[in-house]
Amino acid sequence: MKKILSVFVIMTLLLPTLVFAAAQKAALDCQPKIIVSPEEKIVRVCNDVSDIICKDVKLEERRSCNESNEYIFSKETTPNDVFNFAQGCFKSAVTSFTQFFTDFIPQLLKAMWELTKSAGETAYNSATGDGPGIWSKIRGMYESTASVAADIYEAVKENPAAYFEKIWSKVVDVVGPMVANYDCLKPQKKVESICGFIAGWVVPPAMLAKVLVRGYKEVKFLAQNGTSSLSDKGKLLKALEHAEKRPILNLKQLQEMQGKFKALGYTDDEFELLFKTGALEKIKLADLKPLTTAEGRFQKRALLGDSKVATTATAAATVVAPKIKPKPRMPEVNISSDFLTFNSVGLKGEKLTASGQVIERIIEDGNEVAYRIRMINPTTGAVVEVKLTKEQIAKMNPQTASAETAAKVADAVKKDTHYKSPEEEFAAAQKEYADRVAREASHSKPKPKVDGMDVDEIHPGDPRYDALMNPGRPHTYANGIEYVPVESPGVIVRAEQRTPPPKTPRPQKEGAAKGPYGSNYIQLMAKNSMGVTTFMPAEIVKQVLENGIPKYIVRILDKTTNTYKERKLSLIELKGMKAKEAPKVQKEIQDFNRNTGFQQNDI
Amino acid sequence: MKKIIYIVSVFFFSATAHSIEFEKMALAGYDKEILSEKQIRFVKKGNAKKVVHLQVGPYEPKALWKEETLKKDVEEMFQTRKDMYKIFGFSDIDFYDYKLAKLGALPRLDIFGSYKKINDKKVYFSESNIYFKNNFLQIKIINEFPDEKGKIAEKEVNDVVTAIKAQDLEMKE
Repeated sequence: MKKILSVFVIMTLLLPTLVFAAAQKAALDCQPKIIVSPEEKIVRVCNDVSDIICKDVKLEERRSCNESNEYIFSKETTPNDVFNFAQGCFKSAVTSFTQFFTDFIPQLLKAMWELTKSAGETAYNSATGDGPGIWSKIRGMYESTASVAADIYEAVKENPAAYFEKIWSKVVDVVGPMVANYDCLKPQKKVESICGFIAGWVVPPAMLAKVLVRGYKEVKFLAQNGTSSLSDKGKLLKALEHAEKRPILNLKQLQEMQGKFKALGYTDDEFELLFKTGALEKIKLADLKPLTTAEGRFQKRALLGDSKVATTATAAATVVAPKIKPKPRMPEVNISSDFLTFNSVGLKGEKLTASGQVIERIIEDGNEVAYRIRMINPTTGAVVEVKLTKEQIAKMNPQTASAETAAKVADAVKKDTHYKSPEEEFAAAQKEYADRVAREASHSKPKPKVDGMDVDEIHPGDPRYDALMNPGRPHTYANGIEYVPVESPGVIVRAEQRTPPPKTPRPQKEGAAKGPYGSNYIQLMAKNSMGVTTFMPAEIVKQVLENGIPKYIVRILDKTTNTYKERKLSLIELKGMKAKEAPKVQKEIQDFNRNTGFQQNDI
Repeated sequence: MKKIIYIVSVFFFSATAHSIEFEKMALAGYDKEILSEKQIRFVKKGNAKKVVHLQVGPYEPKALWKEETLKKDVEEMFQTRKDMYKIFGFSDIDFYDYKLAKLGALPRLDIFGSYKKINDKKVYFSESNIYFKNNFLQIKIINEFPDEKGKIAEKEVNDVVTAIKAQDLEMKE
């Protein structure tokens, strides 16, 4: 009886929400129970923590604390269920700022203390006499949680934005992966692991997840709505924007990925570095080669090399809920022969049959997922190398080539003296570059270096390689970093990372072209001289007003006759022709003008 | 069964009554702000850098402080707190003094320390952990001050504790 009462008192005092949220709690399956066994104690504590953290997660999406199996989600659980569940967890974390520090942190700290105490009590009860001294080990735990909670409250109240700005960036690197795997996924396991830390302070990932999520929201709100306390508002907003754009990664996927990286020879530390720096996004698993191969080692160097120049913002792990897209089903396609024929499209859109030789089959998990194929261009007869995924090749209806075609393909590939493999191209480009540098540099000058590395250590795949091969031409990569080759007088060469300058719109001259599509180079649907409706490149050369309505003088390149047609079109007419911005068109039109000597006033 | 219902009711109402009593607490010379049912914040009038946090909660009778193990226990608690502080961006954590006394039959542990906030501002604090009947009360005085003059004097701690103690019937001996 005494025990029941003491538990009741603790429960009543520990959980203020118990009284006020009784109705809410009653609706939940996970109601606190009177302790009758050590197992149930764990379940109850699990429920307490779960109720605090996952209170906004729908009951049907919450895992019962009574489950003892390893995985929270069954095989039948859809990715959408996982997403909804995780989203609920995070949503519950984001309520109000004050509540977080006055309600959530103290509650969680208390729950932690209670949890520790329960575990201690279990150990105590299981032992004889005075127990194994467990009580001395938890001494000061509650005092500490209360004390630190007060200090945190003061620190945050004084300057919430600055607090989160600093803490967020510090913690996010460390906790990012943990956040993705918050207890909601495995509450029971987490509780068990917490109980294992009877004597010490355990930081529940959930708490940090909340700090991160709430901190992120708060910082964003304050940054957007203006606060004088932010040291660099612009930089912060940019970092937040960057973090939002980062691909969403589920921990389970991450773990699977880690397993694959390990199988290919990467260490856990290297994988962690790749994750933190965002380098994982730069490579597809299917393209990853084992470190036992030269290509694999090149890839590793490129990936880890990039990480050295990655920004802190890149390292910021995302705290949004995991979103899993179902894996597309791999098409059934039979590529049993190395010599194939495919459906192809000619330069004028005509259907053709191409042929080629499979020179590499890319295998992942024992399945062929992509192919490197040397194809014979059916129009020009040139040998080109393409890399096609299984999905892509399936659409091209691959067939085993006849013996005659296979012989022709093999012969063409063999005879093509112009063809170079990527490795050969790299070697040639490297040699050309080294020769050029050698020519330009005096003998007394040091050997060119890039970021402290010998120039011949930079390989394809490394963004600095492209920058080196194309001096003066900046290269912007998906990670938003622009690499600009820099040559100093001492022939020390390095690829410099810089933030691209903000793009300012060019001032429009009166009567100058001003297209409605961002660029004046567009692609639209029109009939060519053969009467075939097709996508055609076009340039908006002038804007005019006709009865107050803006119209555009559009020059359309008819590739069947290699001539221009000029049309005056309204925006509605352009839309009717499915006009859209097409950056590639610019080069196409400029090349055409240059090759044909076409001048602006020729029409 | 009746006995259980009776005892449960008594505890329920005593807990509620305690809660109301707690919220009524005041400190002369301080502005009061109720943060939650279990936490009150007092701000010194004319000096917003000095605040007192009052928190109430349960305690574990089996884990109370003992003179013979006090030094070791405080050292362990200090390590625990250092970890907690670090996570939240505090640095230069120091416990420069602690005292164990008796308040009635139960102990009272006072801790004096300091830390730096993320903006490098030095904060001195005192913390009185007081245990009574069913509850534990923590009175924490926080004072942001750049040098040692910011240390909380023992007399000030005692004055605040006395003022708080006088208001709570449960704490009276």
